[in-house]
Amino acid sequence: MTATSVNTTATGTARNETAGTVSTMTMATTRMFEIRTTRYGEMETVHVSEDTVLAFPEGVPGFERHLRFALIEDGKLAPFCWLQSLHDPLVGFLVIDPGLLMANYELDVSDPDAELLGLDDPSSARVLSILVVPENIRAMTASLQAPLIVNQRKRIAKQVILTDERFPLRHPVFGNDGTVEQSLGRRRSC
Amino acid sequence: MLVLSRRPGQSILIGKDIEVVVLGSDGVQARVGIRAPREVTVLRRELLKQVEEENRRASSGAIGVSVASLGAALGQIGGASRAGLPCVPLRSWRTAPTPPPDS
Repeated sequence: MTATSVNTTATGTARNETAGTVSTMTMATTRMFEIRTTRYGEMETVHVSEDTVLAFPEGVPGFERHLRFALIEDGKLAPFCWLQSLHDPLVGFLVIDPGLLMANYELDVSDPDAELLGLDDPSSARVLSILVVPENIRAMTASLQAPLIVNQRKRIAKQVILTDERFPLRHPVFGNDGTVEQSLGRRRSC
Repeated sequence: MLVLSRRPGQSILIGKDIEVVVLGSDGVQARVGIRAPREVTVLRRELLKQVEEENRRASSGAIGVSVASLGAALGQIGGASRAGLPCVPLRSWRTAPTPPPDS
């Protein structure tokens, strides 16, 4: 697959961050990153603007050393997004807004988490769920119990673990009969 | 590891402000209550392990996802062209009271 320019509007000083290798090239205003990813199954290089980069100060459970990810919103993938580790092209997650999968999905943010995320305003938060995609894609599940909370303004994120039993760790994205969950695809505005 | 024997109703203090109370035991399960400041995260260890494992499965599984198969899934979801994603409401900023340990 050829390199995909994800954000063509932003230009600037680019850094080629290929799992450790850094090179620079000069462009116009905003910084662009060149990162390597294996999304879609093949190694490719994508260009993302710096404002797609999220800091995960604690890493992600199972990937504690991965402190920076790029949240790639590719129209081809919508409503899915791709969360790519900047530390390893082989580490990435397909993510989705859990509000698409379950009505009334809501959560509390603990004080220490709010502090870590620098959250002082609910409107700057965004919630995402990591998807597990098995070979049979229709058996895809979403980790509703362990959402990612993102401070969109400060670009800081953390995966939290909920104790609310309504939200399972393996929530089927598609219904048992192969149909899509009723709530999926329902439009809701921010 | 420090090992202590406690009777139901007795407790253990960890530092100044964390208290672990033994509520009872039926020989199979022990029930404990925990009093801790809000900034202390209390989790069942196996839950964290499960999340770690789920994340590893998510990362390795996602690598094999092809555009075509995702496209098929997207077709079913019917949201491929939606602009912007909805937001999940955050109920509050404040910590909910420390959940009681389940029995």
